[in-house]
Amino acid sequence: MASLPETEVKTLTLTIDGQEVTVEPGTTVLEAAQSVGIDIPTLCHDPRLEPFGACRLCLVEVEGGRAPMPSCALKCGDGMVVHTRTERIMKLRKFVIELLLSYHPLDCPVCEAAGDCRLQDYAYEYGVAVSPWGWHPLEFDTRDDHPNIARDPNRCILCGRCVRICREVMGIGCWGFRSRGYDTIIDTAYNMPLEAVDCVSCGQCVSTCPVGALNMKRSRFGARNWQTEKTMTVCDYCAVGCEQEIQTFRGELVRVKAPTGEGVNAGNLCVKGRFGMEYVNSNERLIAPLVRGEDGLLAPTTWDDALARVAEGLKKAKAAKGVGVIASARCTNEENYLLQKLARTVLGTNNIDSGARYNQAAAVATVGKVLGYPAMTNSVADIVEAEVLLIAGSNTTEEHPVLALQLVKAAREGKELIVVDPRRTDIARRASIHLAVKPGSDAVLFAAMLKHIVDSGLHNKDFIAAHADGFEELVESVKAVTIEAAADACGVPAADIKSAAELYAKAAAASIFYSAGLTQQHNGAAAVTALADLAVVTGNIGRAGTGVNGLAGQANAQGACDMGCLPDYLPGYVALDDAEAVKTVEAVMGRVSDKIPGQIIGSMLQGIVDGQIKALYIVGENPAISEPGAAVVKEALEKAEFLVVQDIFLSETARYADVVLPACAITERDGTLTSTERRVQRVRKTMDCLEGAKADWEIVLAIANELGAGWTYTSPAEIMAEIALAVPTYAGISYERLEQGGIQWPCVDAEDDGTPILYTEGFPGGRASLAAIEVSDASVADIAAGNGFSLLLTTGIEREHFGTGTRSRRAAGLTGLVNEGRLEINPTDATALGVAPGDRIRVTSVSGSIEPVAVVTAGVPQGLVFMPQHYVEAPATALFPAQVDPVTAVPLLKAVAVKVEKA
Amino acid sequence: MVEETLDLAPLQDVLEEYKQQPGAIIPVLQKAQAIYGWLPPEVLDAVARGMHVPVSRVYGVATFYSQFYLERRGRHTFRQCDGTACHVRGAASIIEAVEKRLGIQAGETTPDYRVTFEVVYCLGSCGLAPVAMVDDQVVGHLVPSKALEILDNLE
Repeated sequence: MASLPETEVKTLTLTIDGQEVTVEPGTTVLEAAQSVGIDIPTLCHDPRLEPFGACRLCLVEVEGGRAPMPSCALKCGDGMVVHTRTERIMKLRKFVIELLLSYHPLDCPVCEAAGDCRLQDYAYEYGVAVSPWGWHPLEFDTRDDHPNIARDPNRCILCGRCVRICREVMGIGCWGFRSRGYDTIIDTAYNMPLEAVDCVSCGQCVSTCPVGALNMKRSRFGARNWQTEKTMTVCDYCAVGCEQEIQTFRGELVRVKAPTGEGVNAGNLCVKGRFGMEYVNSNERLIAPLVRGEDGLLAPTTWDDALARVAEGLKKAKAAKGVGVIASARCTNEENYLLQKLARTVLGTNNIDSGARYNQAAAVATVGKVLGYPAMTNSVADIVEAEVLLIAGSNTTEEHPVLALQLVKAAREGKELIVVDPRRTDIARRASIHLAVKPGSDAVLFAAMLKHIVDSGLHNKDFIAAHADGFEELVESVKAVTIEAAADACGVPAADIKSAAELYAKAAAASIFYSAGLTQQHNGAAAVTALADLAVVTGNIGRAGTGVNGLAGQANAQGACDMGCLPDYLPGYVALDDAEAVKTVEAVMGRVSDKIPGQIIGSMLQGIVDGQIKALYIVGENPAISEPGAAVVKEALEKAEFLVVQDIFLSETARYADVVLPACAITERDGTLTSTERRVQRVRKTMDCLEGAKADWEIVLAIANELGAGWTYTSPAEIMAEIALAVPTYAGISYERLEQGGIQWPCVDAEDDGTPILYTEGFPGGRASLAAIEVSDASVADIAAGNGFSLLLTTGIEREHFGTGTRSRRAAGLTGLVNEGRLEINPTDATALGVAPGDRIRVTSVSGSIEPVAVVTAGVPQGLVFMPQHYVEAPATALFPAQVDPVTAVPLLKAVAVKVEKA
Repeated sequence: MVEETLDLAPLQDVLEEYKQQPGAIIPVLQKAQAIYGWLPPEVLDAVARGMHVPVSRVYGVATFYSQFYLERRGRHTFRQCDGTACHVRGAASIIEAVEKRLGIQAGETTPDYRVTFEVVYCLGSCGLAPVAMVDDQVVGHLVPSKALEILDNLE
């Protein structure tokens, strides 16, 4: 494949305080100094932001220059001679600090930032005890009503970092400078509450405040920065894989930070990553195994008793060939590997599936088939190289907020965003073209784009000839497609389809992002496959800023699939009918007795109803709420002869269990998670395991040994060593190496640094296999209503919550923001139905009925209503019949006909 | 107070004129104020949208410069100078008389939006002290009775 030409990188050499420093052009003097350990004080600087040059602390002298210059904004020049600590500079810095201390309150004893405050540090370092101008404290009185973000403008030094991070990084702009001179204050427009000015409660402003003007309200007066123990780990909500610094005090989580520059998130976090981890402290955590007694109630028991019962129940079901296992896309690779090993080598079944079924598992039969690997092709870091970004079925700023920062940045820089989504989501508002397609018509749209690209001769003929098979068949499959008919079917202008196709095909680098909005949609597999086709046909693959980037939902959805928590694939995506490859895995893992693919989650539940499945072992998933077909799910969970649920809380599913096994939270155990960009990263034990609970891997191990497996693992590291043997793409990964940072698979040996971008050297099968685009007839029309069900309901994730809310609904930092299921409805529909904002309404489908609260917004088009999936009191999934995509077996949760009425 | 709906159409013309100049918040606000007499929240919102900047930024600019008014103004503005020369020649008694007659303090607007009364510091016409500016007219050698007469004659 085309490799980048070797460009000559010219470097510059300058002298800073007598030290020679060689840097790349564009480097600032501040960065150059920091790179050789020369410390220059800064207040208004944050590497996440553009230089501002306001605080005047980072002044340096350049030989030959007249006035001191702010090093944060000063670019290095070749041969420059810089002095950072001359007498003049030190005097100027001291002067600045004295000015700040002329009004900054000296309330350090009660300030949350004490010990973590730049001004405090510098006042001490520069020996400023009192300001020579006396002390004239500010007396601002302003609102401080955000549940998580505490404000004290009297401590503010007006560095503007909060203002800039909200504008530059978040692309929002809640904060601004108000007034002038002594009256200047950082405020929202009109001093409105943050909720009223599009604040997404990410706390990025808090994270950048160098003093105590903005701080985390919920951890105030908890423990100061220096009192806490700090451990680097990875967030366990979505799959972006943000690094977190968990701070604990006396064994409890106090606050979460993200060190600047570290990891994929480079110091950024979203509302869940920053304020959503408190669930680990919840007093609802399970602290003893529970067994269902003769009175039908769950009662605490000992681990020995619980494990014996589990072993007995599973053994009995195994004899009847009726065991099913559901793994968690939130658990670690090690835990998932062990669990599927338990299923396959001890329980003798391939009935193993995971929460990745809800989205990520779709990659296997779609992009995996076309390209080779069922995974995101590129990395978060190279999104910046894309000129055109096609984002389909992904409400990215809410579902993958930190990855979305790259998309927001691209839009700010004038890159072209093409967003395909029936709703006018935040990212859609930032797009050059928003294709508000009718639900289920995405595949038709992509087929039309493909047709237009080929008809216009915009396809990359050389690339196709060199790297892809199946082009003729693909063209044949879209032969009958016309732009006009597609425009009609999709409900978008034909001109927009053409523009989108041309923009995408003509870009020097164009990348594609998709998520559950496609995979859970009717014709989802066809849509995702078509996206992979589009990338190959235009040669937008194998380079920075290109690719087909499926965004995984849960933190380890990618890993759960990699580890073989799939009914039809062993670890490393080894198909059960690939005898040779199966033998290789068996040599590491042990004999896989059954070579027939097992059942997905929905089929296992149906299997219980039908009597084939007797026992179900569920780890960390909550199908009682997450699965469509509520009636079947309920019947199955009630009818199961033996149900074991392992979780950190008594989830809605656990309430049906015969045995409940209490697990450790993610902060209490070691392991690895594989992020959406294939990055295998360490999660680390940050606190002792809650007494009475055990780590998931220890529980699986204990069950296996209770069943006579004789496993001897003593640590997750040891399990990873076995994974490296079983899964070729993980072969070079070890805990020792992961200490230096995450590694992106494929990582084939100990010398391999991993693979940020797939297919740079070609496709693993030699060539890409373009797939014909097949849109089933039973698609859009089928979803549309009957029975007076005149609206279509779609579901999704909202920013503040996750999954079925088991964790997020137990984090006060999130429930304080949103804690109620809300249905979004278009103003015209609302008026027609007599529904006012805030009304309790009843939403009914053929499958059930829920009663959320109405939010009236033009963000949803007429005819469509939207409801997040996180509310057990109003579970949106309960309105969907048990239906899966015929190709990927992903449950369809994006379009069902409903009626809405006032409750 | 009568609620009036704001016609944003004239503002759209201004925004159209400046849409290629991302930094032109100040002239846009000046023209907007020339249209509406002050800068109501709807106007700041529309300017923010039209200029593709957060409303917090437009608000920041509008609050930085004293030339921008974020509160509705009277149809007339009475600016009494209380600079050194005027102060010495009795501006204080004029201010007191005007405040009493209008029933408002300096810096405020009458509830019927007839007059906004301001005290300023030097209009640069010290030879005429005490001096005031009534709308765009300079009026010199004022005494309280004359000031009140002028006030009463404002429609």
